Amino acid sequence: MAHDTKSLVVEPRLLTGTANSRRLRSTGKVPATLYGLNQDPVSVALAGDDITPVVVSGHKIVDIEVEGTTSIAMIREVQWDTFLTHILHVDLQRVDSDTRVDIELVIVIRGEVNEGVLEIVERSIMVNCPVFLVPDSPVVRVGSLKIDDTVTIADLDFPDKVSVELPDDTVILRVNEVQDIEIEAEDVSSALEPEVIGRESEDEDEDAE
Amino acid sequence: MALMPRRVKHRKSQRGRIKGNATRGHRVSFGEWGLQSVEAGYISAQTIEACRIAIMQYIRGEGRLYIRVFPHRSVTARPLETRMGKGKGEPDHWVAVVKPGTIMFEISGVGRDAAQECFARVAHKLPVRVRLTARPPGT
Repeated sequence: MAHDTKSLVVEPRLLTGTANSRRLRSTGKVPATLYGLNQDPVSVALAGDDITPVVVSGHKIVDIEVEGTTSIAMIREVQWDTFLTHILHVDLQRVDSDTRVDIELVIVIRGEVNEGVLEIVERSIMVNCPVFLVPDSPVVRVGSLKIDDTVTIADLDFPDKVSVELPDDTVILRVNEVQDIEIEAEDVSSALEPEVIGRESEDEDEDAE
Repeated sequence: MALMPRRVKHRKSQRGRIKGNATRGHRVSFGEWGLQSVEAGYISAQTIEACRIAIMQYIRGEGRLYIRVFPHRSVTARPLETRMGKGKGEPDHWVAVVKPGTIMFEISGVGRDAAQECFARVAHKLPVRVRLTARPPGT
């Protein structure tokens, strides 16, 4: 069911820009932007130790406290560094407590198929739900699936107030037969050269002269 | 025939330097598991082909392979026992430029243990240190 809403205390960020953001990150903080609900966007700084577990655990809605004012925000986008070790920036969108939001949920696949090959068709689905009823990521257990079995949107359980944008018969994953393939080593010895763009036209011009 | 471009604008390029981490092609995008470089280097077309065969022999139709690097750059070489000078050598082979963080191969349809075992075999063939990586949290 719905997540417990996490609270994050943030401080306004007066110095913006690449260099200042880099300096901020070196102190263990994460630059973020809070925007939405027809209010001015605010540049803020989050504690890295606070935001990382929230993002990793899949929370989408957080309470943001800026200088004593609390607002509800949705984690819109998270930027990671190259090796997925540090969060570089977070986009936070203010939302009303009584509105519905569109949220992308990752489909979590548990287990391994005993026979056949698992083909994942959809890795995530968009759902529309009230702010305080954001469901957990749907979990699909594939251990008992057999060849030609499929899992569709209809097989996933969601609370009543949550609507999925895709039709119910949309296939999320299926189990295919293992195909016998022949692995042929390509001939790496022949060294043909690629065509050089513009070379033919130059040659033709010389011939014409 | 090993991988190489079909058409190029210039046959030869200067060597240059590989600086910084990868800012593109550094996320697992197609499969579930990726082989990520942690060093910069050049991966030749022959090496990519050897890795492809090693992966396909391991997963044997039970999974799917995605090759995320392509040898776009030519490397020139001078013939043996020739004197210096007389211009740059002729293209000898083709390499893919890899920065730290580049995802080189991705596989899907196999579990973590199988992916780890599979990529361990591939790692022996590669001239750069690599690591197993998965999709970013929440994607």
